[in-house]
Amino acid sequence: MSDVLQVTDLTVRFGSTTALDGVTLTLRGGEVHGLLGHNGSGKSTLIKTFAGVNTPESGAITSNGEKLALPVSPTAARASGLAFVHQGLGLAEDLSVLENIAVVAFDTGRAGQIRWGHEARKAREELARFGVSIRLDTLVRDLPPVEQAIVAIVRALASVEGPPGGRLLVLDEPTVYLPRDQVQRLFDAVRGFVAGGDAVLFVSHRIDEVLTLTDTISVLRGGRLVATEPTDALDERRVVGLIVGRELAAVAPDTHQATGEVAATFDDVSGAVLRGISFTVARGEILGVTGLAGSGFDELPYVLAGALPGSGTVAIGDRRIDVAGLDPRGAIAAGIVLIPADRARLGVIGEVSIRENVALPRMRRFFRGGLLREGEERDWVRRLVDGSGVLHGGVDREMNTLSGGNQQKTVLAKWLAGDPDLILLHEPTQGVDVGGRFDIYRRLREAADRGAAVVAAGESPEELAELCDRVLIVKDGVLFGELRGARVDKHTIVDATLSETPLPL
Amino acid sequence: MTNSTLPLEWTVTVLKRLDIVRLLVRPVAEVDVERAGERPVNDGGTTNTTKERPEPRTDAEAGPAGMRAVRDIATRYGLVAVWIVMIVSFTILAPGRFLVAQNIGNIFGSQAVLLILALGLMFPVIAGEWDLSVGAMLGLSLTVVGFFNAVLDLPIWVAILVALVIGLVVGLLNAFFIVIAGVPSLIATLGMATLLGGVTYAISNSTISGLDQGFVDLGQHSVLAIPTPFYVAIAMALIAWYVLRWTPGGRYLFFVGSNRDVARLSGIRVGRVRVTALVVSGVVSAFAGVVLAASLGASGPTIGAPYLLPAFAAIFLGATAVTPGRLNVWGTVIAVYFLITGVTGMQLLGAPSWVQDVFYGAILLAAVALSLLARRRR
Repeated sequence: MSDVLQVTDLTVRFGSTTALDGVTLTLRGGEVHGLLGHNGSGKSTLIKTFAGVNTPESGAITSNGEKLALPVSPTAARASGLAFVHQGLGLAEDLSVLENIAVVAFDTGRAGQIRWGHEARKAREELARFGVSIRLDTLVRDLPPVEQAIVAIVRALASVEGPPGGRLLVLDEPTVYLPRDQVQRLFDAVRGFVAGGDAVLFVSHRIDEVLTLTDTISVLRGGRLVATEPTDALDERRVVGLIVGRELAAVAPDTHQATGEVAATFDDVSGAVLRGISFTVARGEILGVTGLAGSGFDELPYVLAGALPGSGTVAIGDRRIDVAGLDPRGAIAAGIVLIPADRARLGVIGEVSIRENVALPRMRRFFRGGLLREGEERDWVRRLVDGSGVLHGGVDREMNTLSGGNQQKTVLAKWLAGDPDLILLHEPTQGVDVGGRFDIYRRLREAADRGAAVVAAGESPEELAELCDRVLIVKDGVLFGELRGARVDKHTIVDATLSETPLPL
Repeated sequence: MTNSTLPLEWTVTVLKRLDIVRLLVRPVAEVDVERAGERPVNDGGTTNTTKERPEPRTDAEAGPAGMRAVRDIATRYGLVAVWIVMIVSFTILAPGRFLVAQNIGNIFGSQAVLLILALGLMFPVIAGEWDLSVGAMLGLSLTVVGFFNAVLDLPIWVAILVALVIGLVVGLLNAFFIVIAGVPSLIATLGMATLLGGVTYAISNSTISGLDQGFVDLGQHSVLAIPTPFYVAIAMALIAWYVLRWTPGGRYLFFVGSNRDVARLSGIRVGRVRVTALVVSGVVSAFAGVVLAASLGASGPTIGAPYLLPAFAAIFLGATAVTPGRLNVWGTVIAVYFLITGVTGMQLLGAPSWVQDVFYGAILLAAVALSLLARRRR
């Protein structure tokens, strides 16, 4: 079969970070090519370079024998048959299947009208090729997830002009939102597609799926392509070895027993991806929660704080809280606080003063005799942020005048001020420099020592190893394992997230 | 002084002055303006962790403290300075006509209704919602007072009560469509404005006079050469200032308008705050209609709607003064009188009446555009 896309010695840098380092890769027609790598290994950078989002520093991309100008322009990507389907699918759920498919390139008649009859015939043929026969006027939201994924694929293909047999379909984590029993249907559709001579690049965290579906597997690690091998020659253990760069350590059962008094019990917690997670946190404990992107681990703090819809129960002391009816206000009243990852959007308002940002959840306390006691508020906030080591030029200055680390310390001070029972964090030190990071770890440890339970969801194994007493591993929305004591180290955490065999709980 | 291009020159000059003021001052964020359109609902930021933000500017760029203080004052009181320049100019250009007691009383008294309306409008706009129905609500209230009092011959207090209750109901209806049903506030209140305009005509399509004499006397009485409605408006300003500046509610309103997600995650009842803001503007608009009835002594179906644009112009122009970047009460008060000074002055100099609309429209566009441009430059 012919080479559909060739990548030669591609290097992409962002500032001083090398995201892709001399990657050479060939994607052949008739083949499903799997691309694997841990969080931050360069998978997304590679796809985004194909799509023209990233500008490579050096290297070449050749499509069907023709060298593409870099960065790849959207027009060139379309003309050479590069089609992308991303994790979220990007469909307009309230529009019909046909409207979704025909959204990019219409066939128009002489008066500029869309030739819907013609479009419908094309769409029906394409969908049939993927083994889907649905009414084209069905709303996308009414389709089962797998058919939504196929509609997204057909739409991506409808937008490109490349010749059948020379197209490349990039599937980026397409199975994250698919129920397990529908994955096989998607795989059948993908196999049918490559049988026509086109190529597929299948990007996934799920090693078992990649082993099932693909013909060839490439593995990225730290921006370098460390292997491209036929799938037949690989098994799970070898693949994981390639991803982490060493043999996967045998995971021995942990005999360590929690001794601390239980601070909070979580029972059957579910969200959009999470399914029935149950665990406990002890007083004084910092519990990490991690997993691969899309596993749902990062949903946990938001669901437990009432910021995202979910279900289940939380018991703190003798109070039982129903997660389904929880809103952030109720969570705060119950002693649960959330420190979100996206500081700029969810954590603070940059154009507002530090004082107002910090005092927001506790305004009542400064409202006495019918007046807001701004002086008291200022003194209180100043004491609080000074005590948290925030470097600032006055608490009446805008939040934006602080560095990322100082902003995060300020947010921490805002929420720790109420002596919460349960502190939930997502990526506790995102956008924080090294020095600030350790300050934040220390604050959290102090809060835990005062008797709070801390649950920190994050991707960075280094951070989890540094911060946490215990780490839960989430996979496909369920609790997959737990690491304690000496096993809370970064290698074991990485191994555990990649492991296909459940770890002892 | 009969040169017909003169009013336009004045408009241009005033705008230029504004521009200079805006460029002198520290660029400010017109948070409310930018956010008042569509906004994201909270999706919690689950699967995609966001990229790092570029490091924010540091204190070093802000300049030495002395410069900062000067700039701070220029920022806060630039509008007042331009206003004074305008008063002095008109006094010189129209000697014996502009700065005379009767004209001053006229200026202060005639704008009381606009000021009350603008104060009420501030509440939903700070909370991030447009309310385009305030002008129509004012008109409906005016007609209701006239109709109930002069046509149905009911006591004036009954007419006033009915008008205020209608204001409350309209505020609740707006809140229902915007907060519960999720209709964008621009559309919901545009529909409401048109609807209320129609209802006003249904009640009465002509001028009604013969309102309760005591009521009209009160509205047309002057204290220190300034009609009583002015004092009512200043009392309203004090109340609005108290609520917005000295109660937690004012702070909640501002946070809800700036970033609904941050507000919600901080435990604020966002829905309740938005409903309250819309109800306040409904009731206050109705009250403005009552005050207008007292000062006119009559009602008419076309009087209310033209108040809408000046009210918006005033609150956004006001946001460039006193506490720049935030809608604020004293900024609004200054802006209302700034606007009427400009209009009255130009009319005394012989400008045709259409200049008023050009002036209000231009000020609204300039005030909002300049603050957004300043924000982008930052």
